[in-house]
Amino acid sequence: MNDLTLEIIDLSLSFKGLMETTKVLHDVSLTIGQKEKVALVGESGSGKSVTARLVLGLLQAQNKTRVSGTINFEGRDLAWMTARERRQLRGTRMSMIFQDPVSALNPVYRIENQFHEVLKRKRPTVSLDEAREESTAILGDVNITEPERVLKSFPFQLSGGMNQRVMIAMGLINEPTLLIADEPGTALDVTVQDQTLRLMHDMVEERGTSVFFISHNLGVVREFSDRLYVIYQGRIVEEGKTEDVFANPKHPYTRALLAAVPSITSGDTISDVINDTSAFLAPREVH
Amino acid sequence: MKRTVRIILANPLSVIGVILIGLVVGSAILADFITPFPTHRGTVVDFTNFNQPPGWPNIMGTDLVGRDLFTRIIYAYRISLILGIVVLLLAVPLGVTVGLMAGYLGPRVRFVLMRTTEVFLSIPPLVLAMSIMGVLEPTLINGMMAVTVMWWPWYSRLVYNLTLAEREEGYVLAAEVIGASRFHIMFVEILPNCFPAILTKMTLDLGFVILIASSLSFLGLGVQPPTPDLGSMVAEGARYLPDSWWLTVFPGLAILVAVFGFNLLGDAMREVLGTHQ
Repeated sequence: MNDLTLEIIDLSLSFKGLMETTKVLHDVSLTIGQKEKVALVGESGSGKSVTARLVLGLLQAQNKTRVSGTINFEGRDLAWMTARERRQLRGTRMSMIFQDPVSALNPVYRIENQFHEVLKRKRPTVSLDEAREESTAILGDVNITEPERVLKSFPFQLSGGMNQRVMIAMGLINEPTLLIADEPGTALDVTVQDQTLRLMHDMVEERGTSVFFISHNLGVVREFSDRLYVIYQGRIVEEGKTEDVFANPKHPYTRALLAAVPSITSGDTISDVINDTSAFLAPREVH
Repeated sequence: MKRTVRIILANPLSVIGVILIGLVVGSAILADFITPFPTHRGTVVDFTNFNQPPGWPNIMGTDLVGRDLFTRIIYAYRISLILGIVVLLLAVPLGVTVGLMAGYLGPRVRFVLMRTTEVFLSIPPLVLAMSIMGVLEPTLINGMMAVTVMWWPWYSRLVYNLTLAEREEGYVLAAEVIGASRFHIMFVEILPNCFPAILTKMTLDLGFVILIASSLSFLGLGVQPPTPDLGSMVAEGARYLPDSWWLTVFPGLAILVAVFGFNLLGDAMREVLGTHQ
């Protein structure tokens, strides 16, 4: 028995097409310990988001997907749970924060009703008044100064940053053990993104929530995560402590990824596009 | 509310639509008080006064058995509106449910439901309704059923397309992620986002349902005499054209006013609710 919050062992995924199957994940293995913030970094299409959806159990049910490998959540194999049990976990033991906070909130309901809906996942009998009270408290934690006004608002009446903070509050209100953050704030501008990430960082530290952080933004990852995995074309190519990987990237792809970060201080121009990607398929590097 | 009024007032056609429908609906509701001869909606016969041209007190003339045409048109509106509303109340929930399920529940459900919908859509609506009415007794209830059967597929088509777009929205994924049931996602998350389009189509359709119902009764397949009905009034009067022109012209105009009014109102709704296709 281990005390890992999430353990993924040799996870493979392929999508079945008409003629052939396309393999999207190749034996991905990763672990997230309690209270650990782990990032999965890679370019678009590398399999980041798909991994997150597998953890949530959203892809297994589709008949066009073939999944192999093991996902253990709090020591229990997701594959051995019934669909109902998996559904029970979502929203209570694990929750998720999205790229675009504005579209992730239903435009036809007030924020307070959406909080109510989320709280009902854990306690089906909770009343709207109780929900209001609890959400007011947690909105204070995410530095929202007028919770009453925000709770009465519709999502489109709030700014992007405000919505993002509401999302974070909603993601954490049921005290999940694992928070999956799929490129949070990518749709926001950089200052707001930075601010909300800091906020999220403090919130999860305080609550001891494990975070599975999915991003293509290395700067954000460096600030936020304890450990990171680099994924390229469905394969984990490098893993290690965040500072180790940044200080001493071993894998060719990681090096290319780090070199691709545009910098305003160093005076470099944007790096050239690398056409020869064969080196990126080199075996995994572990720090 | 203020915004609604402002948008309607900005477009003269919308104002006309609201006024026409206000008159139609208002007169249908208040028919017992505003019509000069309320008993004439039934089997009243007054041979001393039959087939009179418009004048006083029969402002639209009288029919072949001496009944006041204006009275009968107003009561016919009442029947038409009830029919239209009942048809939509049956067809919309059915079509919406089918559309939501086809749009959200995956390829197999979609295949079965949308192919069924298409079978209904492929038959010309009036022909379908006529064949149903040909088999059943021509009563008001059966007329409603026939029109309902031809009407729901349009809603399942509309909602299916809306659902396909809505299911890609982040809030649907967010609801899936927190473990909401499929029923909850379809009816609580997606459906309210489809309301503006559904309401707009319902307003537009009320006019068309009245038109189709009138067509059916024009062919003798709808509401039977002595119940006043615009379609059968036109049909009856058509035999006496052009001499007794009022027998057809006024009921015909009445149909036009209702259909035209609901169309303009539908356009106004589209502007207010922001559902431009």
